[in-house]
Order: sequence, then structure tokens, then C-alpha cells
Amino acid sequence: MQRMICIWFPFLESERLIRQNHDLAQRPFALIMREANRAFVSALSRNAENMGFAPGMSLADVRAAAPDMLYYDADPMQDIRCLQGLLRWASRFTPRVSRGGGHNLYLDITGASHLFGGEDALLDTLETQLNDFGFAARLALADSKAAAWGFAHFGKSKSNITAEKLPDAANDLPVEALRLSYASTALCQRLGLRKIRDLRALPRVTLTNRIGLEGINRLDHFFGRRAEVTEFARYKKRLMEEAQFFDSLATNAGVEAALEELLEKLCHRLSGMQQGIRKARLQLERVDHETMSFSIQLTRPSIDVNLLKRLFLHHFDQIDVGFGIDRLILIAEQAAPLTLHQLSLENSKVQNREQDMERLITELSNMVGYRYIHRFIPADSHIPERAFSREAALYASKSQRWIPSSGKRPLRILKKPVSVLLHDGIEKKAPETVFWHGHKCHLTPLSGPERIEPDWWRDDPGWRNGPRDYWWVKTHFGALFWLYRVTDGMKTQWFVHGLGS
Amino acid sequence: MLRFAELHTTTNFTFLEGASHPEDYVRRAKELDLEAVAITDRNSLAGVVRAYAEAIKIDQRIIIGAELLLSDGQCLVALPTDRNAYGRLCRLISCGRQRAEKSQCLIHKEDVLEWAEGMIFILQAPEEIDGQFEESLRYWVAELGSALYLAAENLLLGQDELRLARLHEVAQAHKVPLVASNHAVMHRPENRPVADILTCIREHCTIDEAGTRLQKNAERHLKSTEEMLELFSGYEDAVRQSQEISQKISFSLDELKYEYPEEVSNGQDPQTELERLVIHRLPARYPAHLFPHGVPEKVAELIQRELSVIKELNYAPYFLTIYDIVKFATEQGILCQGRGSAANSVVCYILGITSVSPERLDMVFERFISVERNEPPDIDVDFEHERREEVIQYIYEKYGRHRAGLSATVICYRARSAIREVGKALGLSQDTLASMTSLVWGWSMSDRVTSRAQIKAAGLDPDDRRLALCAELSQKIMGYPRHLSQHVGGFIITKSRLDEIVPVENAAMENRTVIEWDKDDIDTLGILKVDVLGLGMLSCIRRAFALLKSHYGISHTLASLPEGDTAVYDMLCKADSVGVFQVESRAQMSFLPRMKPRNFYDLVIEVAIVRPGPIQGDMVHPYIRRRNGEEKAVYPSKELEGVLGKTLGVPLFQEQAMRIAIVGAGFSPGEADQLRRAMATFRKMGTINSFRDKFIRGMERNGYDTEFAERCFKQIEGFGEYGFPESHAASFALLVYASAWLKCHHPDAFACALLNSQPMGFYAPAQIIRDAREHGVMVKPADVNYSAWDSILEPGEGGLVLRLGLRQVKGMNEGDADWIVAARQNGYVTVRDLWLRAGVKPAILKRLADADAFSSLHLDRREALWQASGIKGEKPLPLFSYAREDEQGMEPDVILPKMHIGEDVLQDYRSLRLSLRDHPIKLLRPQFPGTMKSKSLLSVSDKQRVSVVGLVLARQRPGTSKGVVFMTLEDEDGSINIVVWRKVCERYRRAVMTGRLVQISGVIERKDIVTHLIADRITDYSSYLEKLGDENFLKKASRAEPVKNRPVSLHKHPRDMIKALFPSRDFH
Repeated sequence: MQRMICIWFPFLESERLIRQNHDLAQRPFALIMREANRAFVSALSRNAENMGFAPGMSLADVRAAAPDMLYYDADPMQDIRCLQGLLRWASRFTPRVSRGGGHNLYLDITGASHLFGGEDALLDTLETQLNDFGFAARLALADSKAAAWGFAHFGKSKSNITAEKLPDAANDLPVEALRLSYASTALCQRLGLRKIRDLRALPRVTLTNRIGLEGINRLDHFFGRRAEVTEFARYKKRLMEEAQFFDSLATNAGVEAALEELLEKLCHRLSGMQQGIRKARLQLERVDHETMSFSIQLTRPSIDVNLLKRLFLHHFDQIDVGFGIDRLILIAEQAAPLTLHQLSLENSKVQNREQDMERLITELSNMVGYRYIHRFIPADSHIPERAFSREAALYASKSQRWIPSSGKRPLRILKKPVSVLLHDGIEKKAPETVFWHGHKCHLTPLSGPERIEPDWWRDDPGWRNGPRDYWWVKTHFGALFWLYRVTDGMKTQWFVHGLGS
Repeated sequence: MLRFAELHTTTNFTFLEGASHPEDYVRRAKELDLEAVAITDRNSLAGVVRAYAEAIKIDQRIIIGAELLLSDGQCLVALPTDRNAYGRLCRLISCGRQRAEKSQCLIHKEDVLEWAEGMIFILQAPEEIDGQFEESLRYWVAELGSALYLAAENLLLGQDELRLARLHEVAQAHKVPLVASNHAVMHRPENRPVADILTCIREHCTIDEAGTRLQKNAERHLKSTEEMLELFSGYEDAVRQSQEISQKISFSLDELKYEYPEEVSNGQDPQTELERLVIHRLPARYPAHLFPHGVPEKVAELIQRELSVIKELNYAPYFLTIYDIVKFATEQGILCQGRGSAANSVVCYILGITSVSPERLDMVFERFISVERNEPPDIDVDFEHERREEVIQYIYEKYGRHRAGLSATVICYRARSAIREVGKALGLSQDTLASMTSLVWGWSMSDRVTSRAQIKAAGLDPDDRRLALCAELSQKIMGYPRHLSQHVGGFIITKSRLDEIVPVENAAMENRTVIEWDKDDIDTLGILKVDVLGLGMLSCIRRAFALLKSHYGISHTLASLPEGDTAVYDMLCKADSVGVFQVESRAQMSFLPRMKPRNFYDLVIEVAIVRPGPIQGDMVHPYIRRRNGEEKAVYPSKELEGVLGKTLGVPLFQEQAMRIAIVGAGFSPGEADQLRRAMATFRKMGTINSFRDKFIRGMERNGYDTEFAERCFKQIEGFGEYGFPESHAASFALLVYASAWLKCHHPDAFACALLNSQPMGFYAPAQIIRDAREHGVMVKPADVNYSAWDSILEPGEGGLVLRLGLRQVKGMNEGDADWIVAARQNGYVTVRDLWLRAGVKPAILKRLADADAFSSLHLDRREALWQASGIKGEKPLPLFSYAREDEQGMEPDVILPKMHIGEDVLQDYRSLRLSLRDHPIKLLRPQFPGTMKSKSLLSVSDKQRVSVVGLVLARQRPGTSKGVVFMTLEDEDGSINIVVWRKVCERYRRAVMTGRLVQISGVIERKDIVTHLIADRITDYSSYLEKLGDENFLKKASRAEPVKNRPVSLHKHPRDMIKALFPSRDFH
């Protein structure tokens, strides 16, 4: 007979946060989910739930009722990751573990409990360890997944239900413990069928007509009259290659040769999976147990051994082989599907240029560090300094179109505009002379004015002086200034905001 | 002298684009001393009348036109120079609009050429002045010749000088004059935030995402001649051109001569025809057996006088039009009733337009039609709301769509919609906005969310800059038109083509066409309209008459009901008026016992007095005191005694207020009417002060008390928005009397008719049924073996009983109900039987089971549901139906748990929104020890403290009440009137505004038989309603402490949501 444990984590979301920040343990807080146009509470800490709040309430309602409550954004992906960690932990008790819908884990402990002092002792152990981790858990052990789930959620915690006890124990569980479809549960309620006992009292034929075959199946699963298929977790192998050397490598050239071999092996494996390396790490272990490691990153996934090797070679001057290196580990930390490019006849030049650019970015980023190589990305705004953003080139989304309608903009925009002239009164024309870093410049106006108003909805300190009139002017020494003028009604002040050529 | 004329403006009638009202442009043009300003909305003339009205007032020249955005993206401003060209522009827009979907317009190049005669066109150059543009310029020059101009702007975009030079070059090459413009979207640069927000709303994005879709600067506004000359230095000619164009245009909207349609086809003169009809129909109204001496002399005299006025003003065709419509309705058996100043004439009575005989009320004839004020007579006709469409289609058919159209209603932003949309544009989350809007009542922004505490109470951060911006901008945007909708029934009918007066477009509803102007615009231009309105009460009365005829053998019409029935007035004096037209609201109910109406004219006053106008003017209490002899009726002067005599010296009707302005303050009739109109729309508030000074000074000069003058003015202010004239009140009063008579003498038929006419009126079916039962009507539940779709009267023990119709069952549809009746034969025996014979889907069977509609089959709700849920398959297979029945008969019996009363009641509400069993409060009463029932409140003495509990039936916060909220609670005995003063309301805001079940403590205040509870403590127990189905909860009697009152969870299946189950009617 199969023996199945269901572990339910009723407060997983909030306890996950408390584990990160213990101060939260004492305070009521809520996790917020946004869906279309609504922000609502998706989960609550235990003490917030005790205050009478329930998941599903709208954020505003909770706020109005408890102004001091803390709020965090819900992160279902993190919750799943956390559950996966717990699943891995659970696999120490039995290899047959799986994650159910919601925050549930299943452990098939058939034939395994005696290793942990029997079933009840195992339940105790599980609970104690989980509590130590900071997770409240409700557990139940039964002959089927469905029954274990039902008792974990609606029965006494740590119920250990045997086949003989099951019929009696099940009677008092509410119908919800069967996990019927919403419509069937609602129907049962409307019919006044509240407990499993009520359902069992009904003739099976008539019941099938009401709750459907699916419902009857649930019932059969519950009582173990029908087997339920479980897919147990399996763990993926890491994408990693390693080499051990009896005779330790003493030169960079030796390391390079070994690296090439590892790269070839890894790339071969990856190519079979249609995957390429985006991020890789090379770990060198010395005979004196010192370890060194180097990482490379690419803009586009690749299995080009030469390219990858070259990227690693940028780091080779940092290698200190010491008494020799006896172990090399190469790990593909991040892999992504290979993107294959259709070569086009007309556009091959453009395409080549794009690929060259990518390669350049990859090389440069790996040489000087990817934090230092940027790409300018167009942004949609009239305000010159908001009309672009900077992103690490290695990750930047490629070639967005620059919006031409915004007017002519300088190649270089000064972070802080330089004041070049201040005079009384309001002057509407561009000035003839300004003082640029202490030097007098004679100007010839080229175009303007272009009036740009501040974004009225934000309080931007640089724009508190109101609208600016921009001019393009040419200096007597040939440089192009992008000038603007602000006025407070009494005085006019001129700034250089950008330089062109 | 060179003066600039702005020829290209976009007002907010180019929806979500123009950022200023048309009037704003006109006023600003005046301030800037411009030659003229053209109102040129995109493919539309919707805003021109407003601009025109303002222009006349402040004497500023305007030009009427439209920006034509063609299907190929080209943009031309079209300015008609004379009346005929204007007609062509209307035709052009009508044609573009009628071929497109609602609110869209599709105009092609060729259309422009077809209608181009007499118009001046200004071509808008695209961003890039390229060969393609030159190509199209060449096209237009060839086709339009000297009528074509090229627009030039200098909007400080950086490359303007280059662009101007280029435009100049192109213009020279093609010999097209340049004309300077700003392509204005706002009247002042300060409106830029508004323009940006409108852009966001239009583009469905937030302000942070909008980027370059917004204005780069605020240059698209009206500018003075000097500014333009400076901007166009070197191109001064372009500025001069604008002036020259405007001088070429002679058209003004006052040239629109309105002509009545001719009703007579046989060459007869309309007046002769009208006189013939009056004489022909006279005996029907004054039959010889009742009037042996012929028509009373007074009436004959009136007829003569009216006919001569009608003749003088040439209004006969108008009366004939209405007569024709009413005749059609009468022939079709559609109940109708006219109202309005002209409707109370003897002529209308004789023609059957109204059933209020003129001698029944000593009707004021002064406002019938005033000779000196050449305004069209006013007749609205109410029809049964369910059959109004027939009348509308008749009108279209008779006059054709080119001659008849519905007037538009301009849908404007109100407080809630403004906050919602502005907030969305500012990136506030939906729930923040929901909390913000939930705090706004009504739509005057003086009441907007300002206090920090309130914002905080709504769960929001009062320091948020965006919230502040949202509040500020939404206030600005309030009153901005959002779209045009059709007026409920205002028809414009013309003799010649309507689409040469105003563009006509398709309405959202099929088979309707709508003009671009609303009723104020039509008024401004003196165009006649016939209001064809729908009135639920007429449907109800018609149904009641039909029931009387079939069950009691009595036949009645509106005109034939016995007058002056004491029992009817007795009933009204007791405020026993649930369901009675117009006087069923809570305010009316508390007023009736004080007013004690004893005759028809009292009803007229009753209808008119409980309205914002008289309340705001503080006229109600003085009137009551005088009426009850607690105060002497005094008149401020002899002249005013003539005006106010009928209402004991207190002005109550709109007519009286106008007369006071004329008689008391020396206004001319025209001015008085202007005054009324100035106040009709809130956004014109700015101009009111001048009228106010004039009014008060005029009154003082004529020797009236300043305080009295101010009170009168306040009242006129109130009338502005909610004008209620005596002439309308009189027509309504007849319906009040008719419905009260029905309720008094035939409560069964009346309740039945009311139920079948839902939704209408103030009360939900639950209250109507409850009231009927209190009046001794037996009510039986809906049942598949007895009910039809509608509620019916059926014979029962001791007379007729009211059987609820299947229409009360949630999710039921009329078609299935009809099948159930048709296939019923000798009755259904099982649920399965119903399925087989009526072919009703299982889903519907379940709904019927939920509604407990199988009790005649001896099945309770659960048993029926059990049977219904056992039926699989949408439809029975015809061949095997009987065989299967037998087979299914084998299904073993099951015993389901019985429902306890709480569950039953809850389920009743879920399925029927009412319960004939027990009231929920009766079941919950043990949870509220120490609370009093509504009936026992009658024996409580004044000023005593009590505590009550009940379902919230309605909450109201009239604009006149300064923040006071009136709540109506209902418990098992009846209803309780609660007054929540502003302070208390603020403190318990959430409970007051969202509670469904509340406990309220306070002090009793009693006047006559009206009892109010002045609340000082309000607790929301809405969550208890969810527990009705929980037997254990109900069993546990009185707790010392109330169980922890959880906030109601909103994340539930909608079926179970308390909000939906126990709705309250909220009026703001």
C-alpha cells in the first residue's frame, strides 16, 4: 500500500519574507498582487490574518482599515523557488517527492518510514525541521495523495490515516477537502451537502449525475479506489565539464590547451541541445588548494570555441599557476537557445555590421568589464536629457529607432548646463557674445528658437526656471553650441547645454 | 488697422484634443482684441452654438467653420462665407459622418469638391514640405482656385524660420496666399496640462509613457496681433491675410431661419386646419350630456384667445405636428401625456395632447406663449417607456431622416469620471482611484476630496503629489465634453432639409440619427423641438388599467378617473405613497403629512416644492407655515401679490421666479430668460454675478427687502439647474393622482403593474411587495405551475392574489418563461417533466430551483435542485424522451438536509432579490439586543435615544443639504429615516457610504407623524448578512460582545457578494 505525506505551507509567502527579515515576525503585513486594474491582497502574515483580514481583499480596503500595516509586492516566482528548495530538502527522506498545485509538497514514503523511526516519528521530524526553518506546516499521512491533501488542509495536523481509519475519519471532513471543481463544490453547498459523510450517503449513480465523472474520480482517488498518477521530481545535470591532471599544468599555454578541450566538449554537448553559452565560468584549482575563477559573458549565445576561448584569454594574464594547476572546471552558468540567422543577400552588409558590433561589444565588455560599456537607448520625451537612457551594452536591447521629430539634438549633452551669459531684461534673440569657460566667444545663430516646456507633472530641479528657448549657434572658432535661455521676467540667463560639430 | 484673426482653433468639442471651451476662445479673443476667431472643430460643428451665444453676449466676432480631416490624411479648414455655403458644409459633414460609424467621419477629397462652393479653404501643410505636398497643393489650386489659402504657423519648434521660408517659397510658386495661424488647441498657455492629460486619455497611456505625443511647449494658444506680427516678422502679409479672409465671410448663425414643417398636404392653411380640428374635437371633451348648455363660456373665450395668439405667431404647424404624433400613439394604444407651458392650453386639452382640463387648475396663462418673447412654445410628450421607440420610428418615417433628427446630449466629465480618467492618465492605480471616487458624492467639485483626513481614511497618502495634481486637474476637466450622445427624446423636425442646418450623424442605437447640437444650442437658435420622452409610470398605469378591465370589468382612462376622491387624499396625507408617481421618495414622504394635500392643485405644489430650487431658496418652510396657518401670508408688494397669490406669497414655480425678475427687479422678459439660461449650466457661473447685482439692485430700487431679494435670487439659482415649472408640475400631478387612485382603490392591480414595469421608480420589487402585503394584498411566490413571465392576478382564497412572475427570478429570460406557460397544460409533475415539455435548459431549471419555483410540485429548493442537476444534456432527444423518463424514474430517492429559515431567506435574496418568508433583520435581531423595531419607534417620545438596525435601502445626499446624508433603513417592520449630519458622516464615512447592514444609535426627532433618527453612532455589520445561512450563528442569541466584525471580503464569487445581494439605491 502506498503511503503518502502531504505538506501544506499555509503561510509560505509571508514566512519566506520573514526568513529574510526577522523584524517582520512581530508585525502584521500583507503581500500585494496587481491584476489588470486591481491591487489586492494575495497573502497575509499570520498575525495580519488574525486581525481579521483575508486574502482577496482590495488593497485600499485593507489600508483604510489598518493604516499601519506593511505592504510588499507578492512574488509568486520566488515562492515557487522557495518550494523547490524545500522539495530538494524533502528528497533526503525519500527520493519520491513532488510538488503539487498551491503550496503543497508530496512525499511518497512507502517503505521508507522505518529509516526515520516509523511514520509518526517521521511526521514529527518533518514538522520540527520545517518549524526550525521558520515555516508553519500542516502535514497528513494517508494512503493516497488526495486523502493526504484533504487531511492536511482540513483535518488535524500530523494526522496519520490508515486504510482502516480512513472511512470514519473522512466523514467529518468538509466537501471542500475533496477538491471538486468550483461548480460542483457550489452545487454541493446549495444542496446542503456539507461533509463528505453527506456525499457518501448518496447512491453513487445519482451522485455521478450531479458532480460528474470527474467528481466521482476525485472521490475514488480520495478513498484509494483509484490510483492517481504522480510525477516525481528529477534533477537536471549541470552543464559543466572538468578535467583532472596527474601532472599539474605549470604554464598558461597548458591551461589554454586544457581549456580548449573542455570548451570543445561542452560546446559539443550544447550544440546537441541547440543551446549556446551566454555566461561561463572557468575555475582553476591549484595543487596548494588555492582556487581562481574567471567569468565571461556574451551578447548572443554562442558555441564558437575560438570566440569563447579568446574571451577567457583576456583574463589569462591574471593566472598565477603557482606550483601548478591540477583541476579545471568549466561551467556554463547561463545557456540560451542558439539564434540562427538567415543570411540575406541584400542586407548582408547591414547584418555583418550588426554582428561585428555585437562581437565588438562582447570583446570590449569582457576586456574592461561590462559595467563600463554602454549603449544609448532612445527614450520618448521632449526634455533633452530624458530623451535617452544608458544601458550596459552587453544586455541592451538592440537598435531601437531614434525619434527624429524631437528636433535637432547635440551629440554631447552636458550633464550640468554651463551658464555663459546673464543680462538684465528680456532678450528674445540669441546673444552675439557669450563667455565660455572665461573666454569670450562670438556667435552666429544657426536656428532657433525651440521652446521646450518643463514636464509639469514632475518636480525636476533643473527645470524650475520654466520654459527654455533653445538655439543652435556657431562660435567664431568653429564649434557648435546648443544654447538655451531662461528668464524670470527681470533677467535673462543663457546656458550651454550641448556641443555639436 | 491690422488685426489678426485666428482661423484655426480646436475646442474641446474635438473630443479629447481641444483643451478649452468654445466660449473660452471667444472671451480670450475679445481680451486680445482680435478681428475674429474661427471655431473649427474636426469634422464637426458641435461647439459653434456655444461660441455664438458667448459672442453675442460680449460682442466679439466669430467665424463658423470646421477642420476637415480627409480620409487620406490631408487637413483643410473650411470656412463658409454665406448661408448656402454653410448648408453645404453641414451636408458635407453629415455625409461623412453617416457613412462612418458613430462618432467617426469619413470625408474624401472628392466630397470636398462636391460641396466646396462658397467656402474658403485653408490647407494645413504637413511636417515635411516635400514634393508630395506640392503635388497635392497643385491639385487643390487647380480645383479650388482663389478660395484656397495655405496655413503657416510659428510654434517655436526650432526650425520654424526654415519652414516659413519654405512655405513662402511654395506658396509663391503656386500663387496661394499664406495665412498665419496658431492651430490653437487652447485659449491660454496655462491649459497645457489639460491638453496633455487629454492626450493621455485619448492615447490610453499614462503621462509618463506619453513622451513626445504630448505638446513640446504651450505655443498652440490664441495670440495677440502684436505677438503674431513679431512671430511672423518678414511675413506680415500672412497676418494681414487672416484679417482679409475674415472680412470676406459674411455668414453668421443668426441667418439660420427655422421653419416649421407644414403639416397640411391638401393645400389647406395650417391655421384653418387647426381651427377645424378644435371645433371637430370639442364635443369629445365637452360632451352634450355633461354640458347641456354647450361649452362653458370661459372655455370658449380661452379657445378664442389661444387661437388668435397661435395665429399671430404662426405656431399652428407646431400644434399640428404634436397632434399628429399623439394621434398616432393613441391609435396604437400607447398611453401618452403632454406637458410644458403650451401643453396646458385648452387647445392641447381638446386635441387630446394632455388630459389635464384647464378648468381643473386655475392655470396661469402668462407663460403659455409670450408674444413679446418670440420663443417657440414648449410641449413635451411622455409616452410609455416601453413603447416610445414605435413613436420615434413613426416620426422618422413620416418626415424622413433628412428632416427629422434627435437632438444630442453632450456628455461631460463629472467629478467621478474626471477623477477616474485623470487619475489613470497620471498613473494612479485603479484601486487608489476607486477609493478616491468613492469619496466623491454628487458632482459639484466644491465637495471634492480635500481634507487630508478623508484621503487618509480612504487608505491613500495625502502627501502624494500626483494625488494633488489629480484633484486639481480633474476639477478643471469637469464639464469638458467627452462625447455626444442622443437626447432622450428631443426631436428636431424641419420643413426643408435638416442637414443643411446642422450636421446629422448616426447614433449608437440602430435606426437613430442625431444632430450635433444639444437642447441648449437649439434653444439659443430658437429652433423648435418636440420632446418624445419615455415615462415608466405611464406603462405602469396602462397595465393597471388593463388589469382593472380584465379582472374587475372597470375601464378607465387618465381623463376619466373620478376627481377629488377623499380616500386618495387621505392616503397621501398619511405618506402612504410607496410606488406613487413622484411623491414616493423619502423627502416627499416626510413632506406629505405636513403639506396635507386635499385637492389637485395641492398635488401640483407637492410635485414642484420638494425640489432643489425651492429648498435651496428656503421656500419650503415658509410655505408650510403659511399653509397651516402658523404664519400670515404677506406679500412684499401689490404687484408681487399677483404673481405669488396662489402660493401664499412664497415663490415655488419657475414661472414665478421669472415673473419676480420681471415684475420685481425690472428685467425685460428676454433678460429674465437669459438669466435662467445663464444658470442652467454650471460652467457659466462666472457670468452670474453681474445678473445677481442687477437683480438685487433692481429689487431694492423697487422697494423690496434685500434679504427677500437675495432669497429670490438664490431660488432662481436653484431653478437654473433643476428648473421645475408649474406647467410641468400640473401634468405630473395628474399622474400622481392617477397612480395614487390606483394604489388606494386597487392595490393589487397597482402592485402587479408596478412589478411588471420595473425597473422604474424609487423602490425595488422587495419594497413594492412588502407595501402591497401591508395593504392586504396576498402575494404568492413565483411557481412554474402558476406564474407567467409577468406578475399576474389570480383567483385565490377571498379574492384575487398577486402571483409573482418568473421575471423576478434571476437569470430567467422571457422566451423560456413563455415556453413554460405554453407547454404547461395541466401542470408539470416533475422537474424532468418541465425539461421535456418546455424544452428549458438545465441551467434555467437550476435557476428556477434556486428560486424555489417548484413548490407546487412538493419539491423544496434543494430537492428541486437535486432533480434539476441530475438532468444532463441541453435538450431531450425527441425519440427517446418518454423512454428516458421511465428509466430516470428509477433513480433512487435521496434525503437532503432541510434548509433552515436563514438559508432559505438568503437564497431567496440571491435568486429573487426579495423574500416572502422572513425579513433578514428579523432573523438577525437576536444579535442586536437593545435595538428597537421601526414600528415601535412611533411610540417613542421626541428626543429620546434609541438604537436601531436595518438594511440600507437608500442613501441620498442632495446637493442642497450641505453634506448631510439621508439614509433609509429597512427592518422587519418597515423603514426608518436616518439623518446623518456632516460631522457624524465624516467620522463614520465608510459605514455610511458602503454599509449594507448597519446599526445606528441616535436621538429621535419627530414632527407630526414624521419620525427621523438623528444618528450619532453608526456601525457596519454587513458581514452578518453573509452569516444568515449559518444556523449556529443565528442560534446563538445575543452576545455580550459583538463577534469580531470582519471586513467584508470582496474576493468572492459575485453570486455571494453582499454588495450585490442587498443593494442599496444611492442617489447623489
